[in-house]
Amino acid sequence: MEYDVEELEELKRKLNITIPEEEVTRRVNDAYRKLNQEMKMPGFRPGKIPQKVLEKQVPMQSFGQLFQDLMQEYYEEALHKTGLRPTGQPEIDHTGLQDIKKNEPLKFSVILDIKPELKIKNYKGLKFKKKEAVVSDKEFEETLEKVLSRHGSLELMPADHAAEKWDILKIDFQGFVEDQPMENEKADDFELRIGEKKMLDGFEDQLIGHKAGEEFEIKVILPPNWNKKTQRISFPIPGADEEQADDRATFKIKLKEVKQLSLPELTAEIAKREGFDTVDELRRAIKVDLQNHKDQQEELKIKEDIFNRLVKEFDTMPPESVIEREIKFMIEGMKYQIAQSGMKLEDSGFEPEKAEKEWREKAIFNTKGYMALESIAQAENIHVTQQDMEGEYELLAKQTNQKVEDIQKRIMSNPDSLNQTTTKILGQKTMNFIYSNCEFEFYKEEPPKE
Amino acid sequence: MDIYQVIDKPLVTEKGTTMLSDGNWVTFKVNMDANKIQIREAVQKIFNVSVLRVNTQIVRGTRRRFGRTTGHTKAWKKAMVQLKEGDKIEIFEGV
Repeated sequence: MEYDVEELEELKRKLNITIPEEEVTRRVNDAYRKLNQEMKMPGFRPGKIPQKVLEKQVPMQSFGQLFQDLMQEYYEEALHKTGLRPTGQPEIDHTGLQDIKKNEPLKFSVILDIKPELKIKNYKGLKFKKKEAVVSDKEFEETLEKVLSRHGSLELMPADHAAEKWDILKIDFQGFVEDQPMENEKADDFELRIGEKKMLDGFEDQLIGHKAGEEFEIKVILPPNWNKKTQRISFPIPGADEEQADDRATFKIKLKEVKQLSLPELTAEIAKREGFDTVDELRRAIKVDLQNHKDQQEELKIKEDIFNRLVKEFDTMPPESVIEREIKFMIEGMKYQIAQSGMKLEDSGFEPEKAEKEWREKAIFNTKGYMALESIAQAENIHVTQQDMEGEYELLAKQTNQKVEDIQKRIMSNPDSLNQTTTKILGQKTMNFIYSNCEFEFYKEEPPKE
Repeated sequence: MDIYQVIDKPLVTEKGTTMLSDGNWVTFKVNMDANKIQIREAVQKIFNVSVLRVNTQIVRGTRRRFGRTTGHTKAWKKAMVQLKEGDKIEIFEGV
C-alpha cells in the first residue's frame, strides 16, 4: 500500500492512498464469484456463468459497498501506519470510483481533521491552593437547628405580637404589575418563614413588624426574566438579558397568623428518632456530613480551575467539525430539557439559530477542554470501560427517574450522543487522575465575618 | 429465402460460451427450412465475418403436460457456425 500525507491546515490532513492492483482484482473477482452463485441467467446453471459474461451484465461500478469497505479498510490501515488520530467524520473523495478498472490500482484521498498533538506537558503535579474545609460552630448550629425544627412545635403568637425574623406567617397575597394582577403570583393561606429567602428578594423583610390581622401593601423589584417560563431550565437562555427593565410589583398582603417555632432540647429521644443511638452520634454525623459537603464543593471548584487552566494552555483552535458537533449537542440537550419540563419548544422562547451563535464561544471553550483531557487520557492510557458506561447509565437513570434500559437505548441509538457520553466519562476519569496528581497547598478557611 | 428470415436469434448458453472460446463457434436458432448454405450466406452477410463450417441439428420438441392434456413444444433448428480465426460477432462477446 502506498500513501502520503498532505498538510492542509494545522489540524487538517489529506491522505492520498493507493490500493494496489492485485488487491483490487482479487476483491472484484471475489465479488463476482459470490454474485455468480446468487444470480439466475437463462442458458446457464447457477454459479456457472463465465465471469466475462457476468462482467458485461453487471458493471463493476455497481459494487459500491465493496469499494467503500475496501477504502475504509485501507484508510484505517493508513491511519494506523501514519499514527494520525482523527476526530470528527473524515471526508472520503469518491471521484476515483467513476472510472475504476479491474486491473488498475485504486487511488483515493481522504480529508480529515486530526486531534492535536499533546502539548500540555505539565498536567501532573499542578499546584493549587486547597481550602481546608472547617465546619464552623455557626454552621453546625444552623444545621442542628434544622434537624431540631423537624421535631419542634408551633406556637400561635398573640395578636399584638409583631412578626420577627424566623417567625412563621400565614398570609394571603396577590401580586400586581402596573395595576394588573399577575398570573401565578397569588396564594391563599400561604405559609412562609421569614429569613428562609424562598420568596422574591425583599419580600420577606417587608413583612417584619406587622401584626396578625393586618392588611397592607409592599413593593418588590422583580428579578429579570420573572415572567419567562424558562426559569425552570438551568441553561442560560440566549437573548434572555434583552429588554428587561426593572419591574416593580405591588403585593397586597393579608397577614392571618403569626407563629413561632419553639425548638426542643437535643435529647437522646430525638437522636433516636433521627436514627442515631446517642446525642453524640447525631452530632458527629451532622459534622461529617457538613465536612463532606464542603470537601466536595472544594474539589469541584479545584476541578473547574484545572479545566480552565487546561483550556488556557491549549491554544490550538479545535477543528470546525468538532465545534459544530458540540453546539449541536448543546442544543439537543437544551431541547431535551425543555421537553422534559413539559413545555412546548415554541413556548419556551428558545431559538436554536440564536443559540448557535451565542453558544459558539462556550462550545469552543468546552471542546478545547475536552480535547486537552482526551490527549492527556491518551498519554496516560486512560480508557472507558464497560463498567464505567453502566455506572453512567445508572446515574442518569437515577437523575431523570427513568429506567436504566431506556437511557441505555436512547444513548446507544444515537452514535453522536454515545460518543459524547464516552467523552464525558473519559473526561471525568482523566480529571480525577489530574486531581489526584495535583499538589495542594492547604490553607485554613477564614472564619466568616459577621 | 431472404437472409433476414434465416436467422431467428443468437443463442447464449453455457455450452455456447465454451464452444466460442474453444473453436470460435457461434450458435443460432435458425429457420427450420434453412439449409447450411443459406445459413452460411446469412451469417457472412449480416455480421460481416467469414464462415468456415456450419453444423446444424434439429432439436426435437420436448413433451409437456398440462393437466390431463399432453403435448410437446415445437421442434427447432440449431446452427453452430465456426468463424474464421480472429473474426467475431459482438453480441456473443459477453452478451
